[in-house]
Amino acid sequence: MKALLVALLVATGAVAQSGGSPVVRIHDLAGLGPIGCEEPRLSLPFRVAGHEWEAAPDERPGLDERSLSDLVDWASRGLEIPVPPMEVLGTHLILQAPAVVHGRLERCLAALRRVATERFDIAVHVVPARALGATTRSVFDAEGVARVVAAHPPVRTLRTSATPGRIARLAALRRRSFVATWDVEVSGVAFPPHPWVQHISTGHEAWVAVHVAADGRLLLDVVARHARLPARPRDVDGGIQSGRVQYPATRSAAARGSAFIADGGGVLLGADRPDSAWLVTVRRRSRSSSILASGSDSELLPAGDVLRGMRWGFPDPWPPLPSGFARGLGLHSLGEGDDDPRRRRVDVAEMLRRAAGGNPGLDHLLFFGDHVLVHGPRGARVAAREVLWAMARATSRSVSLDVRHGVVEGSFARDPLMLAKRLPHVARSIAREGDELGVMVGGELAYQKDIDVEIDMAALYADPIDERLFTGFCLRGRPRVHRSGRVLLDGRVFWQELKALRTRTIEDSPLGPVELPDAIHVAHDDAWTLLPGRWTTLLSAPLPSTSDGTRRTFVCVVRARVR
Amino acid sequence: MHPTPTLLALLVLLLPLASLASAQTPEPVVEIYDPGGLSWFRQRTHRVFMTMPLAASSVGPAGETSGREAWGEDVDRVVLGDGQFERMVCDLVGPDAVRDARIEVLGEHFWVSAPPDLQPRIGVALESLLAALSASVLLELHTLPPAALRAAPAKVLSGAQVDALLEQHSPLATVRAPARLGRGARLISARRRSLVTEFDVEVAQEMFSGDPLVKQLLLGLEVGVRVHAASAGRLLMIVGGRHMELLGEVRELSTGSARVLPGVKDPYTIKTGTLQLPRSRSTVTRGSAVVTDGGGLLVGHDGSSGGLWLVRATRRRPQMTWKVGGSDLLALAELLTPPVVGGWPTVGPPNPSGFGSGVGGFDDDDTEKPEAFIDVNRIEGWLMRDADTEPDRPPFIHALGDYVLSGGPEAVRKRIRESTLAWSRRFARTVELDVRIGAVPPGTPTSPADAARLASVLPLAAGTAGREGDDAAVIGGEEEAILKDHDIEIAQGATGPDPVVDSVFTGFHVGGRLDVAPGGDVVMRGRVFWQERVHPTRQYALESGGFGDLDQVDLAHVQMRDLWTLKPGQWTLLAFAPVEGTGHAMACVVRARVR
Repeated sequence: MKALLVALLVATGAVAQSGGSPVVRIHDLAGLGPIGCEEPRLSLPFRVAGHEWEAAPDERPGLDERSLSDLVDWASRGLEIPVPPMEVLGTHLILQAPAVVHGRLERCLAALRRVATERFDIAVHVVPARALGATTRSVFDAEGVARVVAAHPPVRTLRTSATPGRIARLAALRRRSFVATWDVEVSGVAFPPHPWVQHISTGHEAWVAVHVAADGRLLLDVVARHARLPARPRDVDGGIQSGRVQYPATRSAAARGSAFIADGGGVLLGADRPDSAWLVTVRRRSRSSSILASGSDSELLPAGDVLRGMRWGFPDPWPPLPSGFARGLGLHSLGEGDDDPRRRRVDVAEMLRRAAGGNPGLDHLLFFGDHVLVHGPRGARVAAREVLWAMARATSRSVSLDVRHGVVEGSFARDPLMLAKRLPHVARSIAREGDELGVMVGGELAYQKDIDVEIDMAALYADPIDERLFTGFCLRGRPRVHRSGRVLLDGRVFWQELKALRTRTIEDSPLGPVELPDAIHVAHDDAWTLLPGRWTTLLSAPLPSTSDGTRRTFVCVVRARVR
Repeated sequence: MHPTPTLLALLVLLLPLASLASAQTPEPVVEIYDPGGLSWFRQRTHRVFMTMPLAASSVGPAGETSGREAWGEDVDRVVLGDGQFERMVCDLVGPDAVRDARIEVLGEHFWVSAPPDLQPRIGVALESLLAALSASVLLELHTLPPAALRAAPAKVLSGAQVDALLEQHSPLATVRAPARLGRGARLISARRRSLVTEFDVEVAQEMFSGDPLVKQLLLGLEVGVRVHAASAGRLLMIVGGRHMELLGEVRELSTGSARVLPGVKDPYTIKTGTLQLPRSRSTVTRGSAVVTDGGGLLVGHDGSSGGLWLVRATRRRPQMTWKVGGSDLLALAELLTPPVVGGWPTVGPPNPSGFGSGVGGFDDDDTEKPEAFIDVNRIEGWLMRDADTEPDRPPFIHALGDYVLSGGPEAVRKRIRESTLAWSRRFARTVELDVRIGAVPPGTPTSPADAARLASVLPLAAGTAGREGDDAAVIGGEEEAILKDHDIEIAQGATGPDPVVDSVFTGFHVGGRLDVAPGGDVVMRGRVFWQERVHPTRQYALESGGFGDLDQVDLAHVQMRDLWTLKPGQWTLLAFAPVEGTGHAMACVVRARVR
């Protein structure tokens, strides 16, 4: 009897160690693949279609065959069984394993599915310009958003729903074609030009990404821009035998920012011109738990802020350049966008493993979108969570920048606070530490910069050269918070004004007219140190006096706040 | 099976040779079988063009003028001659056939050498296979009045529902044709009109000439339908097609005018000719569903009179009886047919000179081709695991067109039957998509909570359906040919303007790939696009260039592209945005249902 009991116990133990007989089950992987998205790179609002957008492909990790194999290994832990055979067919995993393995795996997949299908309602409100001046805040909770919307009803709203980690693009644009220039071909005795038709895009466009941060807040990235064409393009004679050229002039604005917000909250950024201030709000439809199941040894930790990396890239206007040089108004962004997310994941994995090291450490970790799935004993998971929090804390602050700028005439006080009250224009943005913020507002003007002449044996022909000129204000920079609490802003201020655009006819030749801009600009690239809560003068530059001798000065003051 | 006389004679000659075979085995005899069309059992892949691919960049790989002829490429579903089909027949007949029979494919016939007692069984096996593979359905394609879309109880309809819908809404037009299961039929009821839509300019040293490019518009209906045999007597139906009608008279536009250059010894003229630029109303849709025999799929929109189609398939004969004992032939097309992705036209905002057309032909080069749910070679081990094999009935499994052929002990076959049917229920569901889209006046409440109310006021309705993993979409609107730009060709003493023609689209596109998550939510990886004219296309005179006019467009578009999660049965707001320059906004809401 005793021998029989021992034999039964041994047999029971063997079954327990193997987790029971293997059974075949199919696990549905729909929606768990890589989360593809495109990283926005902002170009100037005045743009032609085709050039208007350059997107850098980006991809957040999802489940692939290798990570599934790792998951199955983890789910088989503690069982004395051979490696369970598996096949991935399309969006399904066929697995032959004991029931306990299926159960563990399905709990993981269900948790991943919850975060992959989580929904956020996104609204991009275009608010009246006065909304910027009515508040000093950039970030609002749900009640604050309601107050802003009630006090300043949006003139336009774009809505969509989005999934975390993806970059949603909202576009409401209008395209108009125009003859931008003439391209001249030459041959022996004939020099015909042909028109070069381009499209101008006006309207609103925004890219919004929502990331779930390690502490449960939402990290919101916003890039928005607007352009409008107040009047029909000017018709200008392109030169001898060339046709007329259409030169448009737009009013434009663009802004970039990022911030941590609460559910239902939003970010206000932009400038005090019509259609140039945006309130972007995010509302979460549901919240998923980080613990997979009661008593589970797995946790799905949000880490969108840690895994996302830094983001930058903003247009960079310049003064006009003479013939033979590139444009003073580039079509493309200066920055290159994100830092390498793959490298970042490797670093995070190494940090987590080190932190949760010791005995026992983490059994397994998996990156999925903006989340890290960690498996292991409670102590190791707590250590992993604390590491993520520590890494998140290093970049958990947002720096908002209140901007006043404009031209003051006559004498004025040097006190930045007094200047802030006197300066006519308001702009605002906000960025997480290390990200780039930017505001740009003004106009863009196309003009006939020069006329080249193509010649050959028996004829000559005019080849008009078109150019674009930015007038207005642009501030961009990447803020960091020093240990002392001061804000370091590495950036650039640019302002330009068009005094006149004179048309000059080339009298002694049959060429058409050229347009000669007379523009004033100030620019300053630097790394400034800002005391939070206090106004600081970034730039004060004298401008040529007016015809009646009045002195003029361009001034830009900013006030940083750290959240 | 009828041997041809020539081959019979050959057979008679060979029979004495066969008698020289070993005395221990029955003497093999040779029979020749006609495979009855198996050699052309091919499936056509669907590709859909926009209806007016005027610009060269929008036509696709088949050429400038006849791109629309390239409906798709043929893919072999049954391959003869590589040994696979031959092994399948031997497995089906039994171990003795595997051991003693030799099947070769000579030309388009099977040459079967086997002992006499095996030949009848081989004949029955081949006949049964051929009967299964040559089954056909009667296809009906009804163009329904727009009102039928909102009145229909669903997008995937039973036979009775199809009858009721047809009774309430008499079709505007009907196309009927028989179609072989698994192959792919192309139903066309169209008119072709030739137009001089462009000039290709040739130049020589002292002269040039405009070379007219005559293209054709396909006015009417062109729909590709593939019907496959699915489990439980049902049918997997895959539909993709387009409809086009001309709007008004074709516009004529002169591309050049005579002109003299000063300073040139021999004056030259710029003169090409007159272009014909049409404007059309177009519909392009794609959908798929598992339907019952006699049932149908309703796809399209209610924005035009030719844009709503009801496609119905009815078996011409009852499903055949499988005669080969000890084996099963399971119709499982819903699991064996790879997801239908790509091959879909793109519509976008217009592009300027030097860039591709905003109205593209299909583009499936970059589309990752997903595999079918069942790949018999990869799951054989799973289905055969732990099989108690019987020496005289070894288990086997093969894929054959829309079918899985299995044999062996009843326990193994039962497992295969039950497993595949369970997979079909779980992984080959159909998602119906109801769409409402259109312009809304300022002030219309458009928060996500207002989706259901928006659905009741939005002017346009569209609908389609997709098997899990398939793309489903509807495009509806207008296409307008425009003279987008003038290039110029030059030679030493001559020049010629070279008109650049493009087409622009105004209307909507809603669609994407549909999946069902285990919780029941529908995951849609898709796109919403809306475009309309702010002002009519205007002619801009290039007076001093000597070219004549060119067209300048003024269009506003709204676009959202994302991965959306839809709660079945509920309306969800996919997009809301102001339409620049118009004073109004557009909204799009969808409702998914899982069947």
